[in-house]
Amino acid sequence: MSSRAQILACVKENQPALTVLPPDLTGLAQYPDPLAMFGSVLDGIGGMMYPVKDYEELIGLIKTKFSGLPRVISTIPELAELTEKDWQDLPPPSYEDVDVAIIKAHFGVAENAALWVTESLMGQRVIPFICQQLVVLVHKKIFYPICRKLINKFQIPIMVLVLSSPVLQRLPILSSH
Amino acid sequence: MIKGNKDHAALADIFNQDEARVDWHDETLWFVRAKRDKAANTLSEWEALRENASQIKDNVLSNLHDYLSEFESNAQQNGVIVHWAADAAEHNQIVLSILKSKEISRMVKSKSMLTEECHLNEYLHQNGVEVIDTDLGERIVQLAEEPPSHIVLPCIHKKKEEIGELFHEHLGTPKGASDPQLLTAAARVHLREKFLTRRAAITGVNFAIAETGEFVVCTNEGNADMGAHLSEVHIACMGIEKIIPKRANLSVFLRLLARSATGQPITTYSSHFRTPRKGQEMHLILVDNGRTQQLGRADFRNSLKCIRCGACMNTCPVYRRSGGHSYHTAIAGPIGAILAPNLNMKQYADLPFASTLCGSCTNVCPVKINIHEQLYKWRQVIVKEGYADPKKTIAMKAMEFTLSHPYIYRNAGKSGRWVMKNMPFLVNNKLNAWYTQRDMPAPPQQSFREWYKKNNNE
Repeated sequence: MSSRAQILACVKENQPALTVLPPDLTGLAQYPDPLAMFGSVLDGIGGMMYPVKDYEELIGLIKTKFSGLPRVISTIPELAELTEKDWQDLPPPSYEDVDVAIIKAHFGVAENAALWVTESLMGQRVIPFICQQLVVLVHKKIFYPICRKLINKFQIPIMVLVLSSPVLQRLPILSSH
Repeated sequence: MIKGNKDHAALADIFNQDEARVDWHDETLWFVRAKRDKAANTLSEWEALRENASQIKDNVLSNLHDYLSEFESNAQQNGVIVHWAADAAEHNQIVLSILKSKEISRMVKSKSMLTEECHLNEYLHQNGVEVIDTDLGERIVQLAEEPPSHIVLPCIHKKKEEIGELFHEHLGTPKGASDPQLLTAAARVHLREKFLTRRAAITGVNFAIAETGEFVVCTNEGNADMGAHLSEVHIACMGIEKIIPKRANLSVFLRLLARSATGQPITTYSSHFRTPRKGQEMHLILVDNGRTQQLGRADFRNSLKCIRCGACMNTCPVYRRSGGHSYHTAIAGPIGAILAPNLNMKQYADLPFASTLCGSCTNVCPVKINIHEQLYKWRQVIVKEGYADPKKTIAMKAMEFTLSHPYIYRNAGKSGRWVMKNMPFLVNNKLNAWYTQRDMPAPPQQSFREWYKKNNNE
């Protein structure tokens, strides 16, 4: 008997009588101002939030914060003037000297300052991990109080990353674009 | 205890020789426990979350066969190569065979208690494969040639000065350097080179979702992701109990895990792996290694609900004062003490006794495992099976005999009081286990029986 068959047979024999899945919890904590809560939790875990009103202001901020850092990449077309061109199809180790990566997040979660990012927003899966500084852009309207059921909004994620507690001086930025 | 040459009490004695370290270990873990309390108190629905998580896990265990089949089929459709391992040996062989087929002899690994349980590093080393642990704490204990002492904080038993010494020896940091920032930076440079040059990466799995065939890996350092995303071959190893039914269930566990573990609101990275990257091979190994047996033990199957947060260790008054290595098993502390006897009752017969049965572990467990009740139940099973400490067995039999013979009981009490009074050196010595941690009480002038007789007959 293969190990697969053996394990499955043994599981079937030993598992207790079927119990039902509990219903989803209701009446969960709500935050009157999810964005403010996000900022407060983020501050507590070492990240920084910078509200910006448009791309122009964002570009100015990036230039100020990261002046002198040569390798800046982004998956956001509006930031093309700041960033390296045609970088997305290189082998993963070639991003080892990326100084700043700027990506978007689908949404933020107030209770834990998490940001949800799928592979399509990263360009390459390794980007948020290998870069020295990470900037994540998220629309200020797309904030939710808690992380519940939100993942189901994305029916076919290939790779989802929940980012929180930015490492080193990583810099999530909010935009109203 | 009859279990080879290792014993929790004896190993704890070694740890206890350095009293300052014990105090520091105790205080450090209590600090983490306090952080957990603060984090739990930020959510009004904390208890409802625990109950919900517990019920989801009950459902998982009651329907594990179907969920495993569903998960396998979905993972395969996603392009993941799924393997099944009945035990640690088979798991290790599968890993080696994947590496051999790709002619890979150097790899990176992120923290996985399952691979610790299977002693994968030693096995690969014996077979000519170099494994670099990339979690900072794991790398430190690897350099020290020690196993981790805690499932979340693997080198919590080491002080920064000791880490500085290790890094000086292995990574060339200045002698005497103990600044955490400097040491972390040195480790980062060292590990980056490994990430960039190794073709294969192993990660653990925190949660595997039956509905979608994806698996979730939670880390604070992003090391699992760095390894997996840079490598040509990603091997993920998981115990079969890591399954959860649906993606909608995941948030319950993500909200509980980091808060229980370290007091953080969520782990820094909670990554969902669904398909291999273009050009990458993704393997997933489903491991039994005693889990199906534990599933069949009604009194102990709840232990399979564990999400490996380590909260029970941080709160345990015994663990905090005896150190993780005293448990001589990959998963230390209260949860380890109920998991290990399932694997080998004789070898780990001492562990369920390494507890005060205070119930603190049960109170903090995010999935409501009745840990202290299981510790108590294991004690009974171990005694019945004949694996109890012979010294204790003899002592209990002697006590039983004495208590059931009033004449002997009376005289034993009298002689005991006489000896304690007139020849105290006979009891205040190293041969008396009771005396090692306590002062002997002053002997009373008379027994209660004598007092009663005197006061009621006059």
